[in-house]
Amino acid sequence: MRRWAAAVARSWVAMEDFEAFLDGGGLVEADDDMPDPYRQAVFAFIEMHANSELMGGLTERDWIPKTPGLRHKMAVLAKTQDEIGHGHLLYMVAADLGVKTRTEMLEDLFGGRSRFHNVFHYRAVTWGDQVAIAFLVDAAALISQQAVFKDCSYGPYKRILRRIIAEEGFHMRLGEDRMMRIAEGTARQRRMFQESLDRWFWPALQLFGPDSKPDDPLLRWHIKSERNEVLRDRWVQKFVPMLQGYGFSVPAPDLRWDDETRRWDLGPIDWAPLQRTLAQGGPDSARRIGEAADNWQRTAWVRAALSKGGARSDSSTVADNSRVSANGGASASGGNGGG
Amino acid sequence: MDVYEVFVKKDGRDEFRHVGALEAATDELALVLAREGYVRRAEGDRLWVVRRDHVIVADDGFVAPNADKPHRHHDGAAVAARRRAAREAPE
Amino acid sequence: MSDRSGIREFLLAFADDEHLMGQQHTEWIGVAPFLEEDLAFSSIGQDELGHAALLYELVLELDGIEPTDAAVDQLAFRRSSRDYRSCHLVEYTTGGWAEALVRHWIYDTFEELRWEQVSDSAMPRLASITRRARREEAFHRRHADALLDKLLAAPEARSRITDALQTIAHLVPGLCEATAGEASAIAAGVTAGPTAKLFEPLARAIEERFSPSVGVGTDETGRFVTSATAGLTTTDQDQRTRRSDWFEPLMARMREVLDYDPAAVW
Repeated sequence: MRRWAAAVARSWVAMEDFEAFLDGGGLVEADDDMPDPYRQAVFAFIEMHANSELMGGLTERDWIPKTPGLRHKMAVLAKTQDEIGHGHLLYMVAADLGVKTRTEMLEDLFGGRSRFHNVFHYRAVTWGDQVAIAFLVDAAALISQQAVFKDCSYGPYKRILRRIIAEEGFHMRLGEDRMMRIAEGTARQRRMFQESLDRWFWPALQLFGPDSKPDDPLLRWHIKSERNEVLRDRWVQKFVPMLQGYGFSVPAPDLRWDDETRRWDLGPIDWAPLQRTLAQGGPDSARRIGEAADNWQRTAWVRAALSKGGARSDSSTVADNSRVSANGGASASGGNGGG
Repeated sequence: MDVYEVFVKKDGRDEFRHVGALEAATDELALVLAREGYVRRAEGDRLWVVRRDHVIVADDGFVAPNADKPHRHHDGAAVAARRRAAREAPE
Repeated sequence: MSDRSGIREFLLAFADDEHLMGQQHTEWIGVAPFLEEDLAFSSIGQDELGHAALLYELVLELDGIEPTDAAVDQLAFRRSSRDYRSCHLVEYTTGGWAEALVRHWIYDTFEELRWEQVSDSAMPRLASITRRARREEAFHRRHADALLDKLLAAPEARSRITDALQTIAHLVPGLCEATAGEASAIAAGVTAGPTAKLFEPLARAIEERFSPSVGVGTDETGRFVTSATAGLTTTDQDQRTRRSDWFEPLMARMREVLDYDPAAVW
């Protein structure tokens, strides 16, 4: 009698067979013997998404105790709880790929050895920033996630994205609601929010990453279904007129309306800030990672006590680790486009 | 810690559905943590948690393909053909 | 003190405790020891803040003010310090997760008793809030117990938990301290009996929960340890009219955005 993880379900002789399976709309499951480059690529993508949800929660957490209003605080607490919850769902799914355990992923993150989205290398310095994140960044994340969900070949990821996207919908509405209150609010509030937009507009835009490479394996393997530049443009076309409509200015000096294409054109994008965050050299990278690491260490006694005598099996991995080589295989083009 | 699989259903609707997994040190903690991890918006009102290493898994291919067993899938084609023939037959 | 103001103070103490307890729990979002716990603890914080909002609405109704969210916030954040009626246990800034967990267990064990006292309240709205709150509190207690069952069985964790209990135990009698006008609330049937009466069952529960590593009685300095009989019902709270040193920094944090622009609606 076979228990969970005792054998593989399906396998494919050659990469071409596997790719034909994916092109035919096939969904890969955790206990399938998927080709290693695919395993590595889908793992790296989900791990980065998980890291980003968690670090996003930590960015928001700085301001939660200061939320202006009792029921307002309940709402933002529920939102950040969802973000941490997404991290949890994603780490569970990533761990089942057998590349790293959940603990290894968290320790790599807190050790500065893992990537997470560029935006969470910045610090929210005012309450306006908190609202700007909920509005601009969550929207960018949602656009990316919807595009992954639409045609994702990795079944466990696709299934939890359904829940994640539903919850992000709550967050979008919360963010827009708070933004509207500010738009209708006092001069001081509006000034604060304009400054937040000036700080967060470009980082939010860069969350989509640079243009996808022509041979991006994430696209070939149906992990992502749309190119970074397409998703980025979707965000620009939505948010530029929306922000202007609420009476805020878009901090892009070269912004122009192209009458021919009937689209907003932001002009050239400076990708240097994104590259810095990918090297953990963002404005708040060191503090964010350092605090998370300290906290992880301070609460180690709890995890130690809970695991003692409780671990009946190392069941956190479905796949047989021995089959997974260290071959990094394909990684996300631009490294920042997903999640 | 053990991994637990989490199942949820809505009262009177659908079957129990697998919604995800979590790590917990005891059965009681698994239940308590599943409540806020998976049903905090009342996504269901019934909850099961099952230790992953208690799940018995059928091998791939164990479930027989059924396309070659038409006797289990009456599609009504023969009945429809007879009815049509009966309708069209001269009195 | 008039009956109405006695009832008002009784409700305010209840509401302020819930508010500040919820506030303290919010500090743990994202930094609990493991992700599943983050989700659970955050929900508990949301529940407590929700109870506070409902109880503040009752106070506003007594005051003849329409209980809008803005009015709730005015009451929750804008009183002068001496007008709060919180106990020092919920004002306390914890030194780590062990203290946060022990406080959570003590507070929610007390809450079960406190809500029970108002379950047949002559104030119909309070009785109906109670039905909802008790369902939530039962889960809070179960959550804390599930963790403690496991943690107290591990030697290192046990000693950390015991230390945490020793550190905060002197704040427990204050939790059971009544406001000055409570007799009016009892006379009016708003609550079934004195809050001070809850101290003994609470102390017994603490003793049972943390036994045998916590003894019965008082320590050398006369501080409450777990005994229900040590007579440690005196506090420096002055019937909940005196704030602790932790209160001002906590409130400054809570008011930071509100103070940025008092005319703003967020």
